[in-house]
Amino acid sequence: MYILLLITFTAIFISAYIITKLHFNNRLSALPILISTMLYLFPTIAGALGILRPYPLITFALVTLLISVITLIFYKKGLDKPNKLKYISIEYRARPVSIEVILVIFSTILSLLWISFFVVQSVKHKIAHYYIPPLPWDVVEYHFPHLVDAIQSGSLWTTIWAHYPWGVKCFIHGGLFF
Amino acid sequence: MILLLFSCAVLHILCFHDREALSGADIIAYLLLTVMLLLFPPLWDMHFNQIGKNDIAMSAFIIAALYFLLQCITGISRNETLGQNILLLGMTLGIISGIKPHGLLYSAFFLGMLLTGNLSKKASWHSAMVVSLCILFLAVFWYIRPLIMLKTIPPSGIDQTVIYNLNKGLHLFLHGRENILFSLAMVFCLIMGVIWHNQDFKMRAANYTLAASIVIFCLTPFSALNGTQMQLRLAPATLPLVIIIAVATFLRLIVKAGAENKPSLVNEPTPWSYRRVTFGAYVSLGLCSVAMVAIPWLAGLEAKQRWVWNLRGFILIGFLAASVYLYNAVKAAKDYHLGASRSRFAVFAGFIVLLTLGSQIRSYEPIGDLPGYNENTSVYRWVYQNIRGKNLYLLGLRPYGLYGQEFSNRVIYGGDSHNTKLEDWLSLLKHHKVDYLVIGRDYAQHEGWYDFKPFPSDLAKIMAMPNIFKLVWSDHGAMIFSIQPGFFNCS
Repeated sequence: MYILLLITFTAIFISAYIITKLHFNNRLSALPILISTMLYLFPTIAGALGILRPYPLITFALVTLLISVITLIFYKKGLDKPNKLKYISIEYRARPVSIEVILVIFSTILSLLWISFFVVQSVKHKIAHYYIPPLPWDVVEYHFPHLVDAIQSGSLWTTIWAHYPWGVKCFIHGGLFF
Repeated sequence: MILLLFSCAVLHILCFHDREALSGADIIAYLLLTVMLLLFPPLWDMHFNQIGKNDIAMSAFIIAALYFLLQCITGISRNETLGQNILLLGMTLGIISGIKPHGLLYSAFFLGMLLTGNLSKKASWHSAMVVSLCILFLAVFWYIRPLIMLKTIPPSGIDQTVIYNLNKGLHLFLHGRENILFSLAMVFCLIMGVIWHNQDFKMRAANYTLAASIVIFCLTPFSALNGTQMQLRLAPATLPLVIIIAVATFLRLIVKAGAENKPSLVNEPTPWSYRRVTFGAYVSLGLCSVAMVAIPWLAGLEAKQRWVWNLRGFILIGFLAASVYLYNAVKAAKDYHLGASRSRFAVFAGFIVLLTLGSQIRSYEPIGDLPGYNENTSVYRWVYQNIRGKNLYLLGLRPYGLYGQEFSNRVIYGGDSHNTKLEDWLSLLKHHKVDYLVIGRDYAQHEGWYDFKPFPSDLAKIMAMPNIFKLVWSDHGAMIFSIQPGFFNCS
């Protein structure tokens, strides 16, 4: 299953990259949106059709990859002229090392050190004291149960949480379908 | 990551898009923004405490939508990229609408902004139609599903909006942290009101989005659930937008005031507008730093309601006073020249980060726990070890811990147990061919402790039928009954 998951995500990523490269100038912003849309759309379509299983999802991803590759071959000539970023020389540049850079970097490192300390302590604390990791109440009450219900039934039509949109589950927890 | 990426992208458009190369100031700006986003207590809560992950996704995609909108309306897009940005905007709004019902309100807002941008009229309507089709394609399933299954369309519960509950007066309140953030958002809106005729549409668009978030917050159902507490997470874009606008407002001083910059790059219409922004930036960031320090202390005082109310009042009065001061200062400072150097900026930025760091460390407390996952009841542990591949019907407690090893159990969650009726369960038990009935005590969740309610009164009826409902496990918080085959045969 891990291999299927890896194949699916790889296919989605490559498809999104090809589409971005072919059709979008601002790739840095287009790529995450395209990946998110695919991760959102594929489980939604599969769930609506009642086939929310790994193999349909991987099929969607591979078909998208195939279409992307065909499009890439078809438009290959168009890629001979890549859109290179134009760097315009400007007069205003910060000095490589200055007092303000040191101040901000020092503060940032301090902040991140504290975060890492928190994470380590938090993980140690949870592992030592809890049999099941504690999660926020909404997660254990309806977010996660909804997801498990969808996985067990293979459909988004049988859940008791039907009165609410659950689009976020489709791409945030997409990997759990495997 | 998406939130951070697009926050920096929005900041870039607001401050630096005139220059097509990164400078040290840009990098410092993005670093500062990232640190502030990571350390701001409400966003910290979004990741680790009380706010759901869907709110994080909402925030991220709303900021992304703002980025694409700015690309469309500020003339950054050339003809060939305008269509791309329109398409990406539509995809982003489609995802937003599929996450939560009030995403539709955000979509309507962004569509309105698109139509009021500086595009030609024909292109605007065409663009709006493309965006609408994207929203329809990506989000329609989540609204057809409840229509087919439940004959309703979200959102529902208009009686639980802030607008509907205004007559409840003081019962509508935010917790300490959110109260400060909400006040800060209002201050930003006020600042923009003061400098209303600023011709820079980018900053206005960002502030319009913030104002729209506040309006959507007041229109969203469940904001005033039971008239006790409002949750600012229901206006998710408010959280990062306040930080982005604060940093952008401040940075625009440095970018435009620095002697190193070409005058042609200064796109403020007049020096008079610039000075207004200067004052706004100083006051806003001052308030921001005060709020950052005050927020953790306020949160720690939530157990002392009277103190919290007093502090809330003082803080609100302080914000209002600062706002009035800002207005007067802006009006009176016609000939007052303020200078800002990068060194001052860096010292101030470092000071904010250090203050935030210190206040967070001082007030940090481990995240709270749920009842049932430790000493309160071991029902989850018992189910995990003894039940596999069965159907369970659950009342009270939470379903998460009952799925068993490898999620082999099917859990049908019947909601709270208190005051439920036996007759309501029986048909469901038969319909789902349930093997076990799990009944737990409901609880009222408070800050750090839980107030358990008694078992439902109809439990006595269950206990009186041991030949059908066989008690297999119990403690003070939960009971598990094995349902005998005879139950499904009897009428």
